[in-house]
Amino acid sequence: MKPHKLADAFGDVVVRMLVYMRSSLDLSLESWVLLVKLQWLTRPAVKHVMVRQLYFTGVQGFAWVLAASAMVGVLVIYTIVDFARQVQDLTLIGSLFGSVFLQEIAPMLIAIFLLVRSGVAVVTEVGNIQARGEPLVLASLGINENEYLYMPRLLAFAVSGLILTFLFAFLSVWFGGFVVALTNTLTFSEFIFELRHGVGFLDIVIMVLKSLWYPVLMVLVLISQGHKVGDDPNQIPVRATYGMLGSLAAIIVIDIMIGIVERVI
Amino acid sequence: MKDSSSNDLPHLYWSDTKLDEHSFIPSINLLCGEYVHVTCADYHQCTLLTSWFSKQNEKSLHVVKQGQQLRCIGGSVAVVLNGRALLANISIQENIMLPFLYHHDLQTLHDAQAQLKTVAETFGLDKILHEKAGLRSPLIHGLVSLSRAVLQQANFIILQQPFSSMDKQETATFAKLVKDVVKRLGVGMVYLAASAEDQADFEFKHHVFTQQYEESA
Repeated sequence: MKPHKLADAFGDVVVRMLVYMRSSLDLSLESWVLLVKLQWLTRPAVKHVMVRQLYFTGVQGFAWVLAASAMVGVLVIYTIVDFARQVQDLTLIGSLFGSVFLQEIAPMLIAIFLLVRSGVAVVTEVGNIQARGEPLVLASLGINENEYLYMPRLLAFAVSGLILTFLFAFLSVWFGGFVVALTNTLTFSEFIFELRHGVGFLDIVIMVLKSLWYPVLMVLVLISQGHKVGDDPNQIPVRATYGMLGSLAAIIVIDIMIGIVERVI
Repeated sequence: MKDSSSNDLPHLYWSDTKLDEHSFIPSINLLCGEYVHVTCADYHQCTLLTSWFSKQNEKSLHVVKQGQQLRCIGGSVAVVLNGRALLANISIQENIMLPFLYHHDLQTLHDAQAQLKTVAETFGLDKILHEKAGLRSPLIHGLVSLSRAVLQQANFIILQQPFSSMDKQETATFAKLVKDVVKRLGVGMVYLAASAEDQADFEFKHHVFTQQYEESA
């Protein structure tokens, strides 16, 4: 390939990425504006979608979070406590729990869980909606497509991400503390004491930001990919794959960026 | 010249609507009770409808009654799209009630809820009212659109090639129902078709054709 053709191809990719990011940003901004305007509170149709999305994404996902906290949470906490005991520095329990578990594992695990469980549903549903021409139906009824279809999904992912991450962390502490006490590694009160002294306010803030930001970012990527289906149903599996990979890439990139900013600050 | 009583009736206006770089649909002023036939290629119909429904382009299609602008789409204008009326993930009942549940004008919502059963029976939708919409025949899509039009007490109805996806029997059934509704409500009608010959036995007062920008200049 000649150099100018290579430059053309590179430029094309960059321009497409910028257009894609711009459309996602527009979608996000319009959704937040609609959310803040609170007009949806007077629209039973939108409230129904909101409740259904919260139920599918958040409430139905709770059993999985419970199972994950009983397995992954316990494993991580036991490993942290065991490591701290081996190096004979119990203060590491709190700081490792804050910097590794709260800041990284909990938001990332819940984001991946939401992506696998509800993300596929979002991208295929939006794709099917496009393929069936439902946006024109909504427009013909004077219904704002963004307010009725996308804003409830965005909100459901954000709220579910935040609440499920908190529940995951909370349940992991209890399950983990119970297992630690059961194996005579540490008493439950010693474990809680170390956590209280080691976990900082910044750990909680970063966990909250990530547990809100990751699901929102994911759902934006998924909706944008679903949008690209247009009137061709054959595009649904293609866009579902791009949506999943794009969401994962987006949260990893954001995670790295947050990590860099954290180090700089 | 229109008589003074025509001023009390709702008027539907649209300005010149661009279809692509070369063609447009010319403007019209339609009185409630009058019918207009719009001849427009299949691939332009979606552009035309999207433009009319667009919130950013409110002046493109609006209804005025006694000098006051009425809520147009989802209010005084009902729409019957070709084979498209249902959202697959909600029930038939929710589909019929969707514009009322969204716009949430309490009086209209209560009126619509009160009449829903009767209207569903009229169109034979009462037995499937609580079923999830999923994939349905073009006739069901059409019947749901008509139900909405009746409940909306619309002043105007836009029909986009309403019979093109139906077989002969469905066409006959649906055409009879459309005529009944149009007559009963006394609405103005915009009939969108790809061919000027597709008139479905209506007596159109106006005929509008796609025009080229060069021609009009």
